[in-house]
Amino acid sequence: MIIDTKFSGQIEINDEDIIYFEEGLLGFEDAKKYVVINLDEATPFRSLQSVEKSEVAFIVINPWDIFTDYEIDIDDNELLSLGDIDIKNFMLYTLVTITENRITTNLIGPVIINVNSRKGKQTVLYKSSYTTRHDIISLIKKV
Amino acid sequence: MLVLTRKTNQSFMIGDDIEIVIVECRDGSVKLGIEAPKNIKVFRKEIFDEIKSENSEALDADMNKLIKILDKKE
Repeated sequence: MIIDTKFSGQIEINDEDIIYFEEGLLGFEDAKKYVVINLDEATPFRSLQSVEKSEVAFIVINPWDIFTDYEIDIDDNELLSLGDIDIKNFMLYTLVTITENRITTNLIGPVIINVNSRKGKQTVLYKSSYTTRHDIISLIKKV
Repeated sequence: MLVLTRKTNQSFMIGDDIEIVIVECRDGSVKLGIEAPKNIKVFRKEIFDEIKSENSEALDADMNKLIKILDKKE
């Protein structure tokens, strides 16, 4: 099927590319179906694009591309809600915010995706000392 | 909404396995002790609201802005 995207115009996606977020993202509970789209190959950024609402798309990164010592502790029950727990089936992204000349990412509310069951959710790392705004500008290298 | 009155060291239950104890009450703050199963998430509502508002801010991010900032940096 062909969908309109916020950053990449119209693109063709397959049904198996669609990730279902039963609860949506916090504040965006109505958008349940997303695809992950590669953006500029020279940067680590991707887009988490709603299939249903073209205007709902977030720039995301794999935090371990930038913060190699990023640590998370997600409850097994929460992971189980996305299907079998097999670490190689999970992808994790954090949302990127741009304000004036700052580029930050939200390390306390990562999006976890089980690529096998194609289910995802935004979790809250409520015990961690991370914040919603970690500077990434100095850590990004164009390749 | 249910409103209860409790004294210090008294507690109340939520369901069968969540107990909230009033530990201390002073200067307009209440210190609570929470006994809950490990799989129950307990966190300050502010964290939730903060992520919600950060998500909304993140929606404004776009690749053009991003590339512009990265170019300026170099």
